[in-house]
Amino acid sequence: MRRVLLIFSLALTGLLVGVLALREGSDTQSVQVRASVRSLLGPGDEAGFRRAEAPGEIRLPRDHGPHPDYRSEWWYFTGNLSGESGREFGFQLTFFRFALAPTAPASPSARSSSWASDQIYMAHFALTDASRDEHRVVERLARGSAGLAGARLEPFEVWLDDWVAQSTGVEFLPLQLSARDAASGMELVLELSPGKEPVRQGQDGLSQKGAGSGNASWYYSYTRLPAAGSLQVGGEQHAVSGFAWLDREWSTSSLDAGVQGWDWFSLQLDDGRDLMIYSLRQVDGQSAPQSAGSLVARNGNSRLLSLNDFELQPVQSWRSPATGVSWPLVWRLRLPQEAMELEVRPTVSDQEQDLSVRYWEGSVDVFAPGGQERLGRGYMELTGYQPPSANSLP
Amino acid sequence: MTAAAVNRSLLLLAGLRFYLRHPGQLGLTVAGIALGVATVVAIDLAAYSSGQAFEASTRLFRGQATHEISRPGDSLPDDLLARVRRDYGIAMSAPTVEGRLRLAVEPRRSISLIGIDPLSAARVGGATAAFAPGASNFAGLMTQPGAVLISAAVAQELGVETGDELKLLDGGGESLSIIGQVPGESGERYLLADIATAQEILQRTGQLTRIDLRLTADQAGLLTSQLRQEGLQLRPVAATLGQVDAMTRSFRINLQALSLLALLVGAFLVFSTVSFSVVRRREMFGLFRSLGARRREVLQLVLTEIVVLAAAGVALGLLGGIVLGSGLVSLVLRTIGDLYLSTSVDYFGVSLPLLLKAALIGFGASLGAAAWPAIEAARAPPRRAMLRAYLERQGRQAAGSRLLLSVALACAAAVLLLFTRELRLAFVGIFMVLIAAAVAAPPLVQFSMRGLAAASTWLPLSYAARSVAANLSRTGPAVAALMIAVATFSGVGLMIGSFRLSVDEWLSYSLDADVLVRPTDSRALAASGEEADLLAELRRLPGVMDLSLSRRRALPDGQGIATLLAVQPAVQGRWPQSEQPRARVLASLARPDQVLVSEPFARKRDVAEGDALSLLTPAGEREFSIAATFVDYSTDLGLVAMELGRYRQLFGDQQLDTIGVFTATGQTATVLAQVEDLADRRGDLRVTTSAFLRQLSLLVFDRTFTITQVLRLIAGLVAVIAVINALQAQRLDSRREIATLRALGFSPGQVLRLGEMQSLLLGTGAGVLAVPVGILMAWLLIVVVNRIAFGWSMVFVIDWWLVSQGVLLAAVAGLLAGWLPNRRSLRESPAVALRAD
Repeated sequence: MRRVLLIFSLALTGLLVGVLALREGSDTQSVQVRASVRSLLGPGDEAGFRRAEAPGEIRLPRDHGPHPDYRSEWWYFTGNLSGESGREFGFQLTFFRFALAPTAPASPSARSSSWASDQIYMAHFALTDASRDEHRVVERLARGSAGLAGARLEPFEVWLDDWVAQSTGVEFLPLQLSARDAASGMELVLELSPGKEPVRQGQDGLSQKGAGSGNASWYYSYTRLPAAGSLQVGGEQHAVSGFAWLDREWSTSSLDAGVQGWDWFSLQLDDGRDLMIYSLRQVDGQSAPQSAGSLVARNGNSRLLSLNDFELQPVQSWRSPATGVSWPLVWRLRLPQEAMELEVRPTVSDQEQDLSVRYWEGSVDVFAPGGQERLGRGYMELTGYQPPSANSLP
Repeated sequence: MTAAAVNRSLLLLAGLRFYLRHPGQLGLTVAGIALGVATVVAIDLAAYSSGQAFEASTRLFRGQATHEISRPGDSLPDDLLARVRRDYGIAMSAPTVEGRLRLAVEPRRSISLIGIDPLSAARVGGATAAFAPGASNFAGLMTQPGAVLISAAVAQELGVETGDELKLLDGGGESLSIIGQVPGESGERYLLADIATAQEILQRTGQLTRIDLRLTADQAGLLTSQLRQEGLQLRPVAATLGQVDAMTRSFRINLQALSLLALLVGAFLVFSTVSFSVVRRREMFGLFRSLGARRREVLQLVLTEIVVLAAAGVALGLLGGIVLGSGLVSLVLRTIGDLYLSTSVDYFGVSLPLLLKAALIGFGASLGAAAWPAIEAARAPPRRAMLRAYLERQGRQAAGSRLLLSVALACAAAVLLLFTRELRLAFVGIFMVLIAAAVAAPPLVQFSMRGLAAASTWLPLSYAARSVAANLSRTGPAVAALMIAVATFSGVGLMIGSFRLSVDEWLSYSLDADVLVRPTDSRALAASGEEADLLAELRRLPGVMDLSLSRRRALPDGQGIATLLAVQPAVQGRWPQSEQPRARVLASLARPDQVLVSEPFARKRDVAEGDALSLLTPAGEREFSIAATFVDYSTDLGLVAMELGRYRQLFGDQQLDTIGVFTATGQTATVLAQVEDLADRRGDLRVTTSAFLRQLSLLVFDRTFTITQVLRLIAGLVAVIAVINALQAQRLDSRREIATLRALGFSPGQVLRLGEMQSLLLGTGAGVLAVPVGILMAWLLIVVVNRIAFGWSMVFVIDWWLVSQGVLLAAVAGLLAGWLPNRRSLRESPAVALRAD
């Protein structure tokens, strides 16, 4: 579950302005951008878009493809990889689609230019080199026309520039991910093989995000996909393998007022179980009632988790020298019914992503509380944290 | 101390009184300076603004782009950007579609529509200007068909704002919606739209104007070789800016030189008015001198006067220049657009350094022009200065040395003009010639008047002629100014006329076919192999005798400034216009590895027949030999012609730009109708006649010279002012003469006719003298300046009607200008006038 993306879609207009302003690298401008994003956290213009309302609509493989009648959508690949020499890496390759306007049946075909488009794609490509304590991330934006970016079902492909996720055959899996960025020297080529079957999150795929009908998203996950390939970072080429996680989500909804941000975890345990947990963090510090998760057994059977099923506690923070934001990076997680007690620690502290929206997204290791023996690996996403000065803003 | 102070203020008061009593002199002096300064300012500002417009349109939305992909004279395919990103991994790339359109609210002026992809522009850091924080135009631009942002200049000029609609002039009622304004207050004029909207409005779907890129050296190297195979060009942005500068340099220097010419004429005017004011007051100066005023004080007085007058003239000139310049800038931009390349934005801005420069030139020219008369006034010994005959005598004595000076100047100019290859020096040479002529003008008029007086048996004529000759100490400077103005008027006119004739002649060679057919999508035509069928079908039409084929592209020599013309000439055609016989030229062209080059190309690259020229083909560098040069006015940037078959073989480019259809005598109309039928059936051909294109070309030519014509008219205006000045001088100074004639019994009518005859003689004398000077000037402009600046040769034709217009202008101006002073001088009682002196 990637609630940060809801904000992206809500704040889109102001955000893009912000992207452009951010390129200038001016501090005052980034403050303005953040302010405009915050100001846009309220309900957006949802008229004309479809909404996620009744459960049970997800059909696969149909829903691997794009849903332009919803306002926002993403293909979110993350994973942890190991190199031959024992080096450890994390990767994130995510494709977002946003609709600037509802696609009226007549509108795109009425325009003669092949550049005309209501759809925008954004992609984030990040690599974490745990052994070297390094993390890099690049963001790109492109319109969903003229071949610059897009998504299609058969054969499945989503792309932005030369960042691509595509089926290698007629089936959805295996998938090939490839991305490179000359400026940062990053490159990733991975093949994702079939692993566990997809898990429909929430109520048969309908994941409630706020009070009221329609404030929900369609959400399914591939929690464990064997991955193998190569990556390049810091001028070195590495053959790598590991497990990837794919989240698919599409919606037309907004956050409830009073929700400040969220803390999200996708953990792949060495015993074969996978755990997804998110907590919607309210201004009063409590978790919103819609906070939820799922636990996927080794055999692929999954169990939904509601707010009552888990306890989440930050235990240690790290202050970013770049932004001044204090991120809670070490967490204790308890699932009393499962007698499960875990401690989540980042592989690299500085996996802050100061992009169109500032968030922390990065690879983590899983331990027993206070322990040294690793129980698993995963990804963590934190949003809605402000530097001390910004908190005092009205 | 006190006496000196009194002296000085007395002198100044006397000077002031003189000008107040003679407001005409005051006006003429100020007008002369103002006119010259205004012309310099206007031309400078127009040239400066056009440069800024190019700079701005090159920089606008390019951000930190380092390179651009473009195809001169052609567009880029729609899918190129996706390929550049996906196949070559070049993320920092942004497409642009640009074009001009006309709005219903402003039907006579076109405006540029720039289409960008905001997300791409952000990648090269280029759109930040358009989307300031807080503006939320982005989604509207992309999703709303016809949505545009306007620049501040457009909002101001058209008085439109966000929410308004802009109707297109020729879009079938289509209109644009203004959804916002591009932030910032710069003076550029343009509309900004999403790239899809721009393609649709400009009817350029499937086409891109260019792609801007931010590349590393490695990426640039890789891309250059990949693109070359597609006939595309990767160029550094800096080179684009430099190219604009290089392309238009000669054009701009020409303009500036012409504006300085206007100032030169203006300076003569100042010279003549100041000289006259000094001559008029020589008795007063003599009196001052005998009362104890020093030479330095007299000199100071005259110079102070001129500084005050120059200040007024310069101020007026700066104002007028700004107004005139704002009008001229669109002319300059249009001309550059016609000749070289068009800008995407219009711009007019005032540059303080330029104004300062013009002011300094104005003051300098005024002081320089006034220096001689001021020194004369100061030098006069007290007693002799009061004797009017002294000055006349002195003037006559100086005639010999004046002629010597003139001859020396002319010789220096001739040497300079013979040997220079530098445009600025060529203009210096022309200026020297003009000054030489001006120096010689008064004695020459004097000699010819004396000759006329001696030869004439009719007393009034010989009297009038002698009187003109005798008064030349006063009227001399004005006569020189008049002569220079008339010479400029007719010289520039002759140059334009000769040029136009040459272009017309050249058009008959270059547009030798009767009907021209252009494939709208020659890529498709070439790809489908349909070309042969089309050509066969055209040949089969009754009345069609022959076809010529041609393709134009940027010359692949690594610079991309010159043009490569691949041709298959028709046997019965006339192209190319060369000194060598056509058969021989065509035979050389048919040989492999032989090319023809245009005159400007030969001149600029310093190559001649028999020299080698190397070109970059997809298979690598290749040497060609230059078989002949030919006349071409289509571009001064150079043209290289190659045989079409050879071109296709070497470059693998199968496209065609133009098919020329040659018809049997009298069959053009029927062939045209059939070709148009064919075009209607196929839907991918555009048909036009060469007669139409020829008309269009001459229209463009005339447009190019509009500015030059404006300058010519300013010279004409100066001529009129000069002659008024001369005659006022003469009349004011001949009160005693008239009184004497009246006292001797001449009737007022007779005296008036005598006066008018003098006016006519003075004007005509200067006008006739201007004839050889004007012709010489035209010849120099054609033979020296044009060759250096553009590399064009042209025929020199003297249009005698135009030459006589100059003489007529001078004569009529003389008559009209003398009208009032002649009459006014009669009003005075002879007795009063006689006593007064």
